[in-house]
Amino acid sequence: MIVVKNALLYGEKRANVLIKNGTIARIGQPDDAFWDKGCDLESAQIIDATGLIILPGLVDLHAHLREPGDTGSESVRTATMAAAAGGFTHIFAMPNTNPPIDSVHMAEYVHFLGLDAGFCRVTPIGCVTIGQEGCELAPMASMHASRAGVSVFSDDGKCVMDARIMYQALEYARGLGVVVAQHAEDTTLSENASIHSSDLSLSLGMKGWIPEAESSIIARDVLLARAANARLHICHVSSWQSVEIIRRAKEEGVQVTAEVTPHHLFFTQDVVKDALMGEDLCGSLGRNESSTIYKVNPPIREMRDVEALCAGLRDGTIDIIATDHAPHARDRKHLPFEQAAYGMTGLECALSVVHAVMLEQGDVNWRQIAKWMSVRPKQIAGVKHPHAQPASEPQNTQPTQPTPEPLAEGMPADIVLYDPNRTWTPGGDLYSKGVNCPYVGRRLPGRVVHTIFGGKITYFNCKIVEVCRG
Amino acid sequence: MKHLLSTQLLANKDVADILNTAIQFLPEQKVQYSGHGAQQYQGKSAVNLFLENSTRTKTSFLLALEHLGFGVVDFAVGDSSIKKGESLRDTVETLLSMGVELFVVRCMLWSQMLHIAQVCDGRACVINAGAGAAQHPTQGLVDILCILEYVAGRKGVDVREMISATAQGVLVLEGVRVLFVGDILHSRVARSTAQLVAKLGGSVGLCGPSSLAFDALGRAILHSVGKNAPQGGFCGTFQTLEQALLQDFDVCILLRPQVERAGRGYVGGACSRAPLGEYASRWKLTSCLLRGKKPVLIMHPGPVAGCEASADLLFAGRTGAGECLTKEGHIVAISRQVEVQKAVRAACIVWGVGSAAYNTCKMGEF
Repeated sequence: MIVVKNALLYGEKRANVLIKNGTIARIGQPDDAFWDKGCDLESAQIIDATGLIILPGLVDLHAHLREPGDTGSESVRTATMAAAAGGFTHIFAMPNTNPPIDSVHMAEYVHFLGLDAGFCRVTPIGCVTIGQEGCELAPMASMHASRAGVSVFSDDGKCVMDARIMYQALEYARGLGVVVAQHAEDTTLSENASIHSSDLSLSLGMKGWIPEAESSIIARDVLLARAANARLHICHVSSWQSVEIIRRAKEEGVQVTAEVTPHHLFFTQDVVKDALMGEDLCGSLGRNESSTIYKVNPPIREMRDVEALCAGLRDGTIDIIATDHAPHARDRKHLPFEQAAYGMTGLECALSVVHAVMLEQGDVNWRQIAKWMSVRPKQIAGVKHPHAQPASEPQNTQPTQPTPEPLAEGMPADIVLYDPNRTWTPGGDLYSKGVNCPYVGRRLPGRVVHTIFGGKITYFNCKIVEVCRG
Repeated sequence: MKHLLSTQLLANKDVADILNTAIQFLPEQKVQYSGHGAQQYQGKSAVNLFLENSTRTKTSFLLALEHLGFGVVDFAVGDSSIKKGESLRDTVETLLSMGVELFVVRCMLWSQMLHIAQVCDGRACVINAGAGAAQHPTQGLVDILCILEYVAGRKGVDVREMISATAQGVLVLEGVRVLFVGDILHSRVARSTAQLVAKLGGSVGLCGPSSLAFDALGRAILHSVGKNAPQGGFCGTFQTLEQALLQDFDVCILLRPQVERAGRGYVGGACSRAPLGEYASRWKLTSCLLRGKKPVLIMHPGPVAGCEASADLLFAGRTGAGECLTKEGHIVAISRQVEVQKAVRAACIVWGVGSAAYNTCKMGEF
């Protein structure tokens, strides 16, 4: 039994929360007589949350856990520790592992690795095509029906380039009530391009990753989703052109949802400019070695894109924030920029980064941030809440029906407590194995202080708590 | 010890320093060449690390290094452990451990050059001998020396005067217009040479297929270097040679269409049937096109593919003492560009490895 005292519910009003048997047993104002009665409360663990904001546990629809196949970069255990440290209680594992998650036994394997780690819930995402090769549909129905309960399918890391296969995947997904998440990248346009197409790529003679490689696939796929009357999710939108296409598609009623990553909201490509120009090369090894940290797919683009992504998030064109947590071991990042691996880690700093970027913009509040990082991701993935009636028919419509308030009595005790007034500079205290956290050495506002997953404390006073298994 | 990676990072003073040394190494200065500075780096080790093919650059660097007294390793990638999968970092670290103090590097990617410079970090000097489509600074310096010689000749002054004026901050190429023709998008030479032209006050125009030569490209290349030149050093893109030659350019630098880098999509009919026939029909410089035009210096950094200029112009460039006057007063400097390479590269090495080494050698021995 845990009592969280004096927390600020969505940063608005003070509340005490009683957690019992993995669920929120009571939630109410601290001056309520209930909290004074004592009775069995005396045996409870008290968390003094004065000044901390209480939010529903965060949900990440897009994370790379690297297991199986590349445990030098990350494992399910370290990724879920990083997740708990970032305030996440549920993460979705992208299937581009080795071997990929394209079968029932692979999906269940990752599902059980997550249960075993115990720091947060892990739901595997299934491949759209076998081996992510883009040729043959993976057994989506079996993975959906398995104990892993796969409800999102993606070939992320690769784009489903074949339009016929994509169309068929959407039609097939409609019948299962699941969503296909597309990594939108026309590789015939982006081949060999490791930075955004701009004056920088032109002046350095490097091939530029043009935004149209992304937006042209999105345009194609919203047309296919409309034709198939199916749900489509767009991963890591990075350009203003893509935001415009998604906005238009939503206006026309296409069942499309979209995500943006914290790093595409936070950085512009100025972060790679100096390093790639070769300035200050003599003497300051560290800075240039780390320039490959900013190599990510899709690439970091320009201020105009950042502004469009923020605007898209605020007007609902972009539904959620997902981390695209992509850890890498040192040997895959400390290479020439064009040969280094793509990706940044993201779980541990996500909430602080969103705080830094979005909360500064006047009309954004913590309820909205909870919607982007917890409520809406669950809706898109079709996560069942305890009171849901079993659907008699597959739901192939946009999940628009209101979901119950997650911070309410009877709901699972998945909670994050966040100190908005603290600042921190990520450094050696990160739990991910990845060496590629782009926020190391940067001062970020706010900090996740405690995380509670299923009624158990997984992260306490900014330290991971080893969970009793079973 | 300094790296020579990019013309963008060179100050005008550096350009003057390098060219000043280069002048003393020129083949016609036979006396100075054998006496001044030759063999000054006796006992030092250098490696010629060429990860991509080369004739002119590689040979001229080898000869320059030998003349300066370096022990030279001509690193053959095909025979090295790179073929066994050894990383570039480990290769460079290995060579550093053996006491190599100078790396002359050619590579396919600009980021490989930066990577090698990072790994060397203060332990050895890196000289860029051509990196991807980004930079070829020593070739840029070769070209700028040829342009300065031409401009000096036209003004009737000594090229040394122009170089020392450059050192004092005079923009000696003010009013000089240089046209680049062909595949600018994939050309590292165009980037390096154009930036040097703009730094010295000249202006640059582009001409070629619009997929390979366009305004945004010209502005991006000259961004931040052409502050002292009118319009930032960029005077526009021209679709055809006829249009461009009406614009009174003083220098015309022809570039090879780099089909191997560009692929098939940039120029019509680049590969099959009549290779580059369409290119030649539109962007090949001929003496016919030059007839009646203001005299122009014609340059080509090589290698020549054949479609850049008509045979008579190319032939004029290959014969004689380097410069051949064509009937109309145009000058072809293709051989001169090769002739000065060894001297310019030796000067780049002296600049990079630094005056410390220069001072420690006993000048009296020579």
